[in-house]
Amino acid sequence: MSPELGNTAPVSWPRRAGAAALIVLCWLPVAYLALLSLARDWAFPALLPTALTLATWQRALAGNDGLITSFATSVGIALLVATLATTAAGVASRIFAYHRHRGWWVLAMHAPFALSPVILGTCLLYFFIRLGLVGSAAGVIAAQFIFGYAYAVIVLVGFWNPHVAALEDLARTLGAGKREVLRRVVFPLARPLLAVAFFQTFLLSWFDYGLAAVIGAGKVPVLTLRVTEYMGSGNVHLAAVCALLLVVPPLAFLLLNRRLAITAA
Amino acid sequence: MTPPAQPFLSVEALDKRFGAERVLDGVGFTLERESVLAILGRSGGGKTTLLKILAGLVPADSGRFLLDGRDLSTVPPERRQVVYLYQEPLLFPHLSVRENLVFGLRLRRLDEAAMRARIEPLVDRLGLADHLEKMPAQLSGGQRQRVAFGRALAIQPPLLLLDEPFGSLDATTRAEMQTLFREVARQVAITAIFVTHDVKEALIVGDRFGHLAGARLKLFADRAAFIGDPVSGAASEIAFWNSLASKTPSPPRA
Amino acid sequence: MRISARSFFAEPARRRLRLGLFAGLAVVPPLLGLGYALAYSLGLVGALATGFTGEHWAKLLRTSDVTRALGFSLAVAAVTVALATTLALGLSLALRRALGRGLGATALFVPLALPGVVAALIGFQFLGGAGVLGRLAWHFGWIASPQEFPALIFDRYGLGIVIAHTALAVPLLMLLFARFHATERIDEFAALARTLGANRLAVLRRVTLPLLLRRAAPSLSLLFAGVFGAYEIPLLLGAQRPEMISILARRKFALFDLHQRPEAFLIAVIYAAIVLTLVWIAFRKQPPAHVA
Repeated sequence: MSPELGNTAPVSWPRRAGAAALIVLCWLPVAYLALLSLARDWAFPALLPTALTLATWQRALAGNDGLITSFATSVGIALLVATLATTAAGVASRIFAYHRHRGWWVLAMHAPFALSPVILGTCLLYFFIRLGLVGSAAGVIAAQFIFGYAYAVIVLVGFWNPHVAALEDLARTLGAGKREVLRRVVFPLARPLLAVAFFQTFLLSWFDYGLAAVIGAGKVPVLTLRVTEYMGSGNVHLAAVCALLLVVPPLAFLLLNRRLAITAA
Repeated sequence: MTPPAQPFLSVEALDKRFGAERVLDGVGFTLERESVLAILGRSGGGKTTLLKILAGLVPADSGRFLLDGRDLSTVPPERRQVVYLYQEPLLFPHLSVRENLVFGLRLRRLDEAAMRARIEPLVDRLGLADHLEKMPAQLSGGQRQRVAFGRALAIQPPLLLLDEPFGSLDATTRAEMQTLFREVARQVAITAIFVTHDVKEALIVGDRFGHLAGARLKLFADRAAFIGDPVSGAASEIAFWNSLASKTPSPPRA
Repeated sequence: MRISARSFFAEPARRRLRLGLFAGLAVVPPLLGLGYALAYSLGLVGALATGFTGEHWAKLLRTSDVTRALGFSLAVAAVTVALATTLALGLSLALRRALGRGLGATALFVPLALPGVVAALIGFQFLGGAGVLGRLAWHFGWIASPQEFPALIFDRYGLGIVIAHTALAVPLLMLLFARFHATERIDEFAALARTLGANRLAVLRRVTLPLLLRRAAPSLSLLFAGVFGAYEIPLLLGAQRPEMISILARRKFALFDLHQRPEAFLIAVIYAAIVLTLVWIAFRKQPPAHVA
């Protein structure tokens, strides 16, 4: 876009004020959670807590409430889901992309999203019970994999185009075998998009509540479930700690590399 | 009398259809070592398919292809040692010019010294000395095509296939590249099949000539036969320039 | 580009197997689940199944809670999408340059890192009577006690649910609109329209909004589907009645009274039908290049 197009006048101050307000609003939830997690005695109608304390965090990190375990469980499950989904989708996306009916296969990948996770989990519960997967991390991983895999295929299929195919062919005529083509040509080029797919499938699992609740049947203590637990028991300070544990790691990654959020859409 | 030596390259009765459309019909030819066969044909006339079959990227429906006595018909592309150069100068975008040049040599596990020795003369001939550390995105079309050329020559392939390699360049650069190709081909003594839709280009780069139309390949005994045959269009081009020359008064010499 | 059984079976067997396998990973579970749900709702499978029966579907016409939940969920989704789109469009167009690429653009990514449960927690803390807004109201003298604060959560209209989903959706939509603004070359078309005589309002109405909304239609339909089937936020911020559809399905499934289970699966089937129809409508309007 040439610079002559669009408005070139300096931005007016009401708009700048509006933008500043929006920026504050965007950060407000996280800031508020931080304050809540450090607060002691923050009853109505105080606008700010009367005292701050590290006690809640100390309690959380001490491990008695199992928050460390929950954090580790969430991390472990999300890493496995992301790895399995991205790998499988990497292979699948190539097969679909180079196929005559590429569009239809990509459309088929939207199938899991026709049902919400909770509803799909409920419908499949019978089968998961028969497979002995209910109440186990394996079951949760399998259920989340369905969504993660489908989504990763949709993201990755955009990588394969005639240009890449030509590069692959070219490398073959220069003497590279199929594996070497993948290693020396395809993988280096696909790395950025693979990172996006990995990050997004990780988040899909990390933030999941429904599948962990339905398939996990309360026995898989992921962080999202712990947040609702604390909300239910009225302990908003621990809920805030939990929420921060849930939000801050992905947020940090995202801010460091905003491109992780952009899919091919 | 000793029997005539086997031709270096021998293609026999290649057939290919895509669905109902027949793209190659009984295509066959032979080629001697160190000569360039220029095949003329319209865009989309099966030239690319022919080259891809020879490179092993597309299977033929029937026919044979022998190189230096070996039947390559069923050999996978990475073992044929037949390099295919595209119209677009396809350089690996994540590798520098130097790394692009030595790509094939790395696959053959040459050590650094051997690689350098191999590409140095090419770098000189192709005028790439100043560009070795650059990335493909920083080069012009002509420079990129030279790198692609150098990359192919570096592995000293017995056969080089060129698919309208200068088609995406502007007219001046194209003329330079045609001459460059001719010189380098001579010096390095390569055997090549060069496909183009431009008769002038065919005449510059080729030693032998063919014309591909209607899925069939017509071969010509020599340059004169090629120029003389109306399908090449050479004769009408010559007539055109001659008619212009006779009508236009020559500019006065300064 | 119609797929035909013949073209599929023309593939060599090994490739067909691979294709089927990789496609099946994503396609088989939902089909299996839906098939099971349909069978259960028709009395063909299940703990108390007695064979094919249409009674559960017939009951649908008489029952109020399923249709009420469907209506409620559709309404909440529609209001959310409408509100979020309007706000996001307005803010995006007004503040596009003011936000720029630095702090502004970064800030919009923060809400993307908030999952449903966290949004529900924030919603609970902000919108409740004794919450942040309630305390501000008290300080301004508008209310005397938390009970006087209008019910924004656990209310009959699902206000809290709408507010929470809208707050999550607006930043995401703003980022999308900003991106579409560039890829659809809105500035160039707007300049073109100006040379053809359009004033600023006309440009907005005839160029900017149509182009942006057309490109965003698939994303908006996905947003609709997401809110329609939402679970965490309605679970934590919603009232007992009316319920959102996912909550109702879950409740009917998990009840001690197993007789309600077929209805839970019936809901699943209807839900899928609605979402598929919606997505089909939205994607049909798109130019072919823009399949998600």
